[in-house]
Amino acid sequence: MPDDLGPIMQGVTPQSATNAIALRFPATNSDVRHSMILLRRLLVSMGVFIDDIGKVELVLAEALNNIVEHACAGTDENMVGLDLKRTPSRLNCQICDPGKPMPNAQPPMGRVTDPTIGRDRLPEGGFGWMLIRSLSDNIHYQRIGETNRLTLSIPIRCAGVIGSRKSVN
Amino acid sequence: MELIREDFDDTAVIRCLNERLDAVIAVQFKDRFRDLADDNTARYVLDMSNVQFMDSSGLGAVVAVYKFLGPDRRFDIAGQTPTVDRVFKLTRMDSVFTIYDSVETALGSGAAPANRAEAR
Repeated sequence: MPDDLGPIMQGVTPQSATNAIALRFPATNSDVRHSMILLRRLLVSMGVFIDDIGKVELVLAEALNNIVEHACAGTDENMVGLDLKRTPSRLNCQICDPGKPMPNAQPPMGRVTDPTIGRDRLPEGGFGWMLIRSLSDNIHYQRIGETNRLTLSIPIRCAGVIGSRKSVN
Repeated sequence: MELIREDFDDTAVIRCLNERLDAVIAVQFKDRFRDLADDNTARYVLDMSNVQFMDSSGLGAVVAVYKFLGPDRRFDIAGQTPTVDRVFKLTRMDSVFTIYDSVETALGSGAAPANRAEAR
């Protein structure tokens, strides 16, 4: 089934300059999905390598899913703000939401699963922060008034940027 | 959620037609898979070749159906795309599942699984 691109603009307000993307959308799973599909298109137009777009999509989807499922659980009226800035080698990301603060006022470390623990004990969730920490760095969380602000940075390569694979060859 | 089943001898191939196995459809995936696997077929192969994106909710759903099938029914995965492959590897679930590069390879006899073929 092709992903439904019809209602992509509903509730999602993109503002895209050449090296910056700003999205604002309700904290629901379906709005996260629509935003990731839109983001993919915007990153392609910025020249970000397709493999790196996959990493960006995964990191941001995990962080946003956590907001939907934990910080903003029980209501779909909260708006999430996603601000991205591209440098020649990185995508610097900021995610803001008005939900509950993170426990212990810091992002989880992320659990590494021992794959040999046996079928019945394998976890069916809790992989999110492990994936975020594997693919990004400079992870910082702040509670500012009634707002959560998470910032992180993802290494990327872009077409036409010195130092990226395409330019070297 | 679009899952379809095709049977080949003692193997049921469950094809995921959705391009995204994410938090939106993770629960539906589990329910639909259980409906399709309501028998004692010896082996199930999940065809993920259409899945362009899987998040940790999607991975959790795949783990859940593996646990649902229990020890007496085999569960393999076929046709993972690069972003799906990344999630399996980073979470180390690539060592839990046997992952074939295609359904055809999974059904062929004696062919090496994709995630065992490389030097490890």
